[in-house]
Amino acid sequence: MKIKWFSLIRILGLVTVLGYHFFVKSFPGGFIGVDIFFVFSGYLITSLFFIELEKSGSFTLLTYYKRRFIRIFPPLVIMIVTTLPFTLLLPSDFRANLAKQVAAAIGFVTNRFEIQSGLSYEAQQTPQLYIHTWTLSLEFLFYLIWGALLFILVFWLKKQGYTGKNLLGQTRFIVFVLAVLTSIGSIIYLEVTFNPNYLSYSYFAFASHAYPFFIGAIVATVVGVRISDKQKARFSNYPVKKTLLWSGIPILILLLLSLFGKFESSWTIRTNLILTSVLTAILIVQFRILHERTTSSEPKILMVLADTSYSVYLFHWPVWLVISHFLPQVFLAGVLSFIVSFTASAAVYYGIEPYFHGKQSVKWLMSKPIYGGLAVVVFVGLGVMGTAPTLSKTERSLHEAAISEAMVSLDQKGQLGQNLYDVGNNINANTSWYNPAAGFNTSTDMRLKQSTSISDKILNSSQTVLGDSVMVGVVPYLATILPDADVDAQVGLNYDSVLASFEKHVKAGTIGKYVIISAGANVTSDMTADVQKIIDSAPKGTRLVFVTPYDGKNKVVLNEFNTYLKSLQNKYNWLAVADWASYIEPQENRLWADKIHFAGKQDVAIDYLNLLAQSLNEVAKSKGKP
Amino acid sequence: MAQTFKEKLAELEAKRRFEQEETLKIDSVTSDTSGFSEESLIQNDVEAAVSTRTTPKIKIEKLTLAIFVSLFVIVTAQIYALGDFSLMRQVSEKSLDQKFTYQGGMKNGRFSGDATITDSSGNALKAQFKAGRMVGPLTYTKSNAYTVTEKDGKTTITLADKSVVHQAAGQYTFNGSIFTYEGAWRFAGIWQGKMHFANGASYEGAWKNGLPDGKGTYTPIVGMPITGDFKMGELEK
Repeated sequence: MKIKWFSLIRILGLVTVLGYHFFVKSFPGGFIGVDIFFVFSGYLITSLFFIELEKSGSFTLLTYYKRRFIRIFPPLVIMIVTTLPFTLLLPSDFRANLAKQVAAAIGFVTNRFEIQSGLSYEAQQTPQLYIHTWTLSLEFLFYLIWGALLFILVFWLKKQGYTGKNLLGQTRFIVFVLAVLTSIGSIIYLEVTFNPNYLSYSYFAFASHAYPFFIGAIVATVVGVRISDKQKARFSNYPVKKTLLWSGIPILILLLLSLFGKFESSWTIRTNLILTSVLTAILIVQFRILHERTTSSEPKILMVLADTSYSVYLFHWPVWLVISHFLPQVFLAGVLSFIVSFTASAAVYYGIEPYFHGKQSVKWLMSKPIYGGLAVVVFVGLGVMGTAPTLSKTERSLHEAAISEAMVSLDQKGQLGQNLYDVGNNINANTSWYNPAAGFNTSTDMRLKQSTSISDKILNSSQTVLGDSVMVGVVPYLATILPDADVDAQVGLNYDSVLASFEKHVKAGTIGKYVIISAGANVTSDMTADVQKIIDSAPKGTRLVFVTPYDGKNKVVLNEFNTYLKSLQNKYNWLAVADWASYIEPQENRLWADKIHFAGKQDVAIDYLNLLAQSLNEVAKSKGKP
Repeated sequence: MAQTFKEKLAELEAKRRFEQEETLKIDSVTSDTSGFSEESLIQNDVEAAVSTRTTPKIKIEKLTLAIFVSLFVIVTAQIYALGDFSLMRQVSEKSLDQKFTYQGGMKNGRFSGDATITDSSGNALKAQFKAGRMVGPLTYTKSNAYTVTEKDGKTTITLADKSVVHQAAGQYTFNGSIFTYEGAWRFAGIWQGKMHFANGASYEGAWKNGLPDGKGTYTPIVGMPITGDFKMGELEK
């Protein structure tokens, strides 16, 4: 039984996800598409179960597992095997730890793999080729667990003597209760374990993200694919206008969510995704009704898109990474990525998959050239994995920057200790101890050593530097312009944490008269508000220097923020902006492959410091915050 | 009629083919359980499920075998992806910017275990690493100058003549035979500190450029303590 219009749900999920990955600036919330797929999966699986139960009076677990497996696994393997050779076109950072990425995808544990590496900020800095397969991990677990639960349930009910209609009714009721309980349980688990600093756990873990499947299952117990005659009669009298309204509103809200619901907002994971699931559930019911109300078949194109949606999802991300690397025009790259992914998916779905389903003997697939070709591709793939670096240069450079920073900081302490010792002895030797009115004295040499060549006004004041991983890379060289600055630069810092650190310093009275803030590469939801709070809470006499963050992969979002930062210079004369983003954009190839960091690249760091020094001198002219 | 050898062979071959086709048919019926566009296949699915049970033919299908092999691959991949099997090896590598040499353990491509880092001027850092990051105490040695040890936020600076300066939370402490000091210490800017000399004199107050500067109190060897404004060590009149 083919339900018309269900294609629309798959397409809606696909469009939002592709929109998010290709045009993240326009669809910052498009990842909700994944949840649409989840709900629909839960719905279909449970519906199929009921149909089998109704027709055959039982449920065969093995057949169910086999069916699911053949559906998911072959396209996944085909996608990985065919995309691997192309990753050679990308900088080596993309292939960091590639063998494990591939193993995680094939082993259906990408979600746990991500949770593991999500613990380390450095590891997140390199784009992962198969990160999108995390959804399969969840699907896989759901299929496994739900199938087993349903099987046990039917087995038990049959033992109690239920058969036929009674069995069906009783199962339906218990499955309903079970699905409601598991949905609620999963949502409670999500809310209880939610930690804004550890979003990846809430998002990737099965326990906290399984509820969409079970919400889909609830719908299947009430309005399944196969419905009773009574329901049929009721649906065929249901006004079409009402259906259009009740499917229009959820679609509208889903689109709004994908346009405005940024991932970093804690609303997104705690509420928006749950809302997405509920809206999808409503859509499923509405389209199921619409099926009864319409006689014309749905347009062929919808069917093709829905059929290939799973494979398109599989292909689109690696395809996009390769294409967008060579094609900087986002729109073109997006369109081209879709065409390529769709072509590949159609070939897989219509050309190869029927073989696994035993639908028809696909003779050409069994030919020697194909086997030979397959062997070559697998061999190349193994070669690519074997030669891939275990660690990205970006991550390595961040670790190295931390070492350099430690050496500089320890050396500075050593110099200061030595200086203290020398000064004390020098005063002791040069002071006229029996003429207290003359005060203390040191040798001329000592005085020369003590005075520095850098602008006195700034140096004689106090300076605080707050920064993210970009600043961490600069710190080893920072001492050349600000030897005494109080530096709080940490990998993974964002504007939220900078604001917190700033306020802490203000409260403790340890904030410098000159404050340099360099953050924003880790985008947070309300950076402009954070900046305003920093400006407002700065004590009297403070001078602020903001550095514009740069991320070659996320230019548009940051441009908006940087324009805002620059506009502040005209508003406050005690504030200056070191425009790093504009400076580095035309020469971004000097950065590491992530297009953010340059830890360990001394020439870049010195340019960065020059910009900083200019801005510092500029604000030094003002009297500070009035 | 007696069969020739060739005819016999042809007959056998035909029989074999027939049997093979039969098995293939069963294969295609039992494996006709695709789930892709689940809706369209429901009819088939259920019939297939029923027919699997009613046909008690025990025959390992190619597809079933493939699935078992795949399951094995999946489990292996899981263990490999989530486990940690790499061994630690000892390396000596230059940093990406060629500024220092790392000598020590390496695991999963990340710095690991005990290591010594030496820069081009011969300054050395001894540290312990875990997954690329430094953990635990650090010891930095500048040749012929000082050794700086940092542990639990406390720093000990050992100078060439074995004098020891302590530093914790921005405060420096020194107890030498000629003088003692307690307070902040910086290269530039203004800070507060107390210095006592072995001859009995002392200063407590503001410092700048390595000399008393700003408000402070000078307790001389003889006479009353003097409180006043200092400029480059001298009392302002």
